[in-house]
Amino acid sequence: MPHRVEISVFVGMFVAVAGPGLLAARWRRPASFNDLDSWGLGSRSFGPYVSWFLLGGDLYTAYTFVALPALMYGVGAAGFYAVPFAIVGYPLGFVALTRLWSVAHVHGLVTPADFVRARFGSRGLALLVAVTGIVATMPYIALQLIGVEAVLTTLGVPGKWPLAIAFAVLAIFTYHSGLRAPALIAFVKDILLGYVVLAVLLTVGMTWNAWGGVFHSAELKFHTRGPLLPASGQLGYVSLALGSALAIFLYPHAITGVLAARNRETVRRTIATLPIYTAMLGLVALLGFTAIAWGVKPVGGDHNTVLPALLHGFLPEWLAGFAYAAIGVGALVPASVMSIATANLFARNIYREYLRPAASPAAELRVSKLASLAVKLGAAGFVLLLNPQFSVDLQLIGSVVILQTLPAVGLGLYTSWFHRRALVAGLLCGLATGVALLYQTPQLAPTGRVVRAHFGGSSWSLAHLGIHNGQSIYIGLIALAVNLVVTVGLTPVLRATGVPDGLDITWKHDYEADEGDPSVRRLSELVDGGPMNPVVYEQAVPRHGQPVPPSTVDYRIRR
Amino acid sequence: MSRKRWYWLLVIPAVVPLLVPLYDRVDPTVYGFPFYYWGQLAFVALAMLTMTVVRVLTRRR
Repeated sequence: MPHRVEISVFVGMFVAVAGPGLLAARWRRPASFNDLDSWGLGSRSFGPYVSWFLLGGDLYTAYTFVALPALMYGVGAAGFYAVPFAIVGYPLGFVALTRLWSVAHVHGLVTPADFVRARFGSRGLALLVAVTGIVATMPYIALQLIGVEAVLTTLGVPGKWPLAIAFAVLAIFTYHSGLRAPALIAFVKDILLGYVVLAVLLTVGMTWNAWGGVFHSAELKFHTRGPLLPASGQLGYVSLALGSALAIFLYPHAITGVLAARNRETVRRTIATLPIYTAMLGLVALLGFTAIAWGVKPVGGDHNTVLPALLHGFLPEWLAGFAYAAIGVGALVPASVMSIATANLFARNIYREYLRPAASPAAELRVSKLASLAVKLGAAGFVLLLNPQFSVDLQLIGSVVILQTLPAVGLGLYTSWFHRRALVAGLLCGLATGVALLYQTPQLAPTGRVVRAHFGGSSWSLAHLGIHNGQSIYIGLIALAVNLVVTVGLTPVLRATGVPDGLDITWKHDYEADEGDPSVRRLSELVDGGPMNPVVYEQAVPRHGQPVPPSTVDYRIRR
Repeated sequence: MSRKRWYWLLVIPAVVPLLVPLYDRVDPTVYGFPFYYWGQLAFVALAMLTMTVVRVLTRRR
């Protein structure tokens, strides 16, 4: 077998990680492990270090580390958009997510749709946000598998069964341990990844003027003035970076990671230091250029194998094995968090809201655990049965789609001015616009030939408007603009015609509350070392058609 | 209350990485890296520094 050492290291690391994943359920285990908070949010008890590793593993997925070098290899400088994107998102998240953390802790909210339910008092809007979140996240899970598949292809492992095994491992430990499993595994993944990135960069950088040569060969390949963006690519670059930055923290899995933090300062400290990963990501992306310089050929023409093939060709076997393990383990962390996040959306905002309003916390947890299995089964089905390109297309749609929840979830943190019906209309219009424009976008070969007629990219050419300067703009932003115009335009109309507003059960100070404040419940028993009392599950959101005693929830009719 | 004005500092890392014409150039190169690449990587440090400063200045207590 040609890749014996690499495969042994890969399999060995994988098994070594599965163990802690299963045992994670015991880690900081509260007295009761039978509600959604303890399973799906790690009892909301993670400190700065755990949060940092968890969110880092969650946001910087294995697929990203495989796909970005592939993108740089394929399109050059435009692929570097991930760096400004993953910088700009943080200052925005720094202020918005601390508010979300506070209001979620005061009201016991688990999902972004929970927040929308509490803020705008609309079940329908919450359902729409939940479904949007599920639709956007499912293909993202499938992509993680594609990242692992790229590694397996490079290793020459035949068939689909190793992928199925990897997924079974993921499913079992997530079902068993909830969010604690990816939190624990994230440590291993990051140590592996950091070590490998450092080793590779040193290997490349040892040669004199190595990077100069690397950039020069990129210049030769892409025929640009320096290995840079053409002037016509700037609008597309900046709009893609901005749109992605606005979308990143709207993803349910990002919000799950944030809500699991112990207090506001943990959220702030984690976000302030997370950009370290962006630097690592940028350097890994540049390995796509290294692959050009060193004449690496992707296996079977699949660009996703560029990075694994580079590692295989230029690292000692055992180190390449570590790198593959980092990618494989790196896929488990986000896939696990994503499946938990979507499962929570289903359990909270569909099952309990619509199917069984009287569900006990234990029943809600059971449904969520089963849903997490179903979600992963669905994602595995995507990859194993359908063309992988289908997942890539869906993920492209997914990022445009999730951005449409910005008015309700993101702006909702700052204002309750929007009318719930206007938000629903805006969201639907944004979704329709986004999908229509994506459908309109063909995929072009460098020669200008049309490779595929539809869903070929997320940049909408301005030529559609009769502006033939080669510029394009990110479709998500156009759809968001339509969404905002509809939402803002309809709100006064609905008010004027007397359509009743929803109930906002949140108060101004809820958005500033912190651990230790009297309004923040269920925390004293969760802090490390504190007494572990049974967690009392409180339902702050009034159920539909069920009167809530005024002593527990204060009502305020929005003007 | 006045502490809140420090949050405006966050506008810098939120906007500077989006000013493409500012960094879409080769010179100055550092260790073989065109400015386009090392400049954008340097914004990482800018963002972390700004957020840390804001975090410390707006801390409660």
